[in-house]
Amino acid sequence: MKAYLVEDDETMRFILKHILEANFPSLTAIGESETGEDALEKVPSFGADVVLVDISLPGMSGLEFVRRLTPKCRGACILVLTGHEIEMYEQAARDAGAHGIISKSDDEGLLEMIGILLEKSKQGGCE
Amino acid sequence: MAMNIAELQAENERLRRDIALLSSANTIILRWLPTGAVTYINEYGQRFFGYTAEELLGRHVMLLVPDVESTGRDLSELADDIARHPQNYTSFVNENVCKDGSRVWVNWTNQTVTDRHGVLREILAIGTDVTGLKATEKRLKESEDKFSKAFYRSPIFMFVSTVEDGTFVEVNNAYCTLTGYSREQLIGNSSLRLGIIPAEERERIVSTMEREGRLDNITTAVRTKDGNARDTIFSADIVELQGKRCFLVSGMDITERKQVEDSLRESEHRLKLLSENLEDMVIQRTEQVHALSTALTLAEQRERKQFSHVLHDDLQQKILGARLLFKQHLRNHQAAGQTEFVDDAMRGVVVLDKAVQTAKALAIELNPPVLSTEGLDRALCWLANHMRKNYGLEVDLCLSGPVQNVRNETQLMLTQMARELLNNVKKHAGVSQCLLEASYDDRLVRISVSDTGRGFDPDEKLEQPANDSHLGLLSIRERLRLFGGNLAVQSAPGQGTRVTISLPHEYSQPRERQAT
Repeated sequence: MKAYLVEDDETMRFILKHILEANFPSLTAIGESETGEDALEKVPSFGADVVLVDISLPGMSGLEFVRRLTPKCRGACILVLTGHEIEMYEQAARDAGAHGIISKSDDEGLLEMIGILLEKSKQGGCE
Repeated sequence: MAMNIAELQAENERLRRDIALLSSANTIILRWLPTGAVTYINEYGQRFFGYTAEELLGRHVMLLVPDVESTGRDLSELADDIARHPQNYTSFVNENVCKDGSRVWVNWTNQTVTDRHGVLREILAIGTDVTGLKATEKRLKESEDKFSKAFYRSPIFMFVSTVEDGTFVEVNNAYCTLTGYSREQLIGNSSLRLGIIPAEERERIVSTMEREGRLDNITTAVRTKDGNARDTIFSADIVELQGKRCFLVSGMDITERKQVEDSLRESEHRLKLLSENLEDMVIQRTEQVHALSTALTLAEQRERKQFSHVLHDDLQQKILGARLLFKQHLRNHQAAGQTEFVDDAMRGVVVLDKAVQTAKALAIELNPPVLSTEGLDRALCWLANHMRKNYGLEVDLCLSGPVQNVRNETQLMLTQMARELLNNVKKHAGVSQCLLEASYDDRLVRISVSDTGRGFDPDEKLEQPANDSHLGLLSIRERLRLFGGNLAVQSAPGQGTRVTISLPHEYSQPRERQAT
């Protein structure tokens, strides 16, 4: 299984990667990008099963990235991360094509959601 | 001897004939001896002086002559002087006095009668009444004196010059003062020869004079003796004088007046220029103030956004990261059965949660994050939720038109204004529900907040705010004006409030560049 992190904050990227590695041993590879533009180029060839994207990115926003990635990576499960209340973006994230949205402060929910998406991925993806 | 007697008789006869002839005429005939004794006066003379012949004959002729004339001339020695120097008095006009004391003027022709030795025997005086003529002459002289005084002493310059070549016939003192020439230098000379007026200017004046018959209020410059130019205004008529056509000119030196007028015109011109420049400066300064105020508003919004981003994208991320990491270690320790510091660790997580909440709330207050990524529609949607969640105000949202097209600074400004309006509802209306409407048409973006609460008198509160309870509305109105927008308030005590803000589309592209 492969996961991909799109997060502009280096510390947060490091911590998320650490959490993924610590809690999901099935993950064999974790890719990283600082911007949506960079990730949009790399994710399709990387073949990520789960993509974690921060909603606030410099340049292309997280939701815009989701909108553009969806047609390129059908089957990949996309989880939007936010530092804001998720109610603000829940509908927008769903409209953009995301399969879930979770607050960065909800660590338990984050782990649960990643687990669910990885399970979905095993079962044929999030199409 | 016989010859002489005959000659005398002939002479007497001739005189008698003459006297007889003149006696019936309106002529005074008076004969008196060198001693002064009157020997004859005709009837007309008697009537003229008011004496009978008897009253005069033998009396001294000086009875008819005043010692001093009304002109002041001394006549007290007149009779003696005539007797001594008759040749000086062959024709003489003097004043006489009648019986009633009245004065008369008589033109006397005095003829001497001598004997053959040339000795004066008698004076024959023939007089004509010239009293009326003298009176006329006197009036004429008085009139001439008056005219002369008026002419010479007038502050208005006057002169008489020939039409033919401009030779001065007469000039007054004012003209001498004007030109700097004496009367003697002017009279007999011409304005052309003295260079007082250029030939072409004189031609123009003469030509106009011939055409119009007179000149009124003509302005022209004259050159004075010392070479200076003086501005004058004059009028002229043509008069006949000593058989020559002459100009009778009167005028005024208006040099000082013209200088004052020119100075006044110049001052007015400068004042006008100054006024125009001042107006331009005011317009320019107003535009600069407007541009700077706009830039300041946008800069403030940009700073708020920047602070918000720092709080959210940096500080908050760091705290969240630390929290995630902390919780991960906690899970690791719990999995390993190491539970001894779990409680302390959980308290640390709570502290981090509070720090996150503080940073998040401050970031949202400064710049709701939704504004950075989405349009006005999403921002208002967030605002409605924010007011419900944090302040218990139910906000019904109604959107019309492509509100999502409003973005960037304009979106932020409108959202902040909408938030102030909703805060007003919460603070002043006394209701827990209101309506938030947003529309986007061909020209304007409009946002309205309506409630059914207490309401207020807009004229009283907005035009003369006694406290700061409505300064928020005034501030919104001023900010909108800077961007060409408008604030409309419909409200009345007890009848709710509807506040509408509107902004032209063009301000979706901020005018910040104008200030730089």
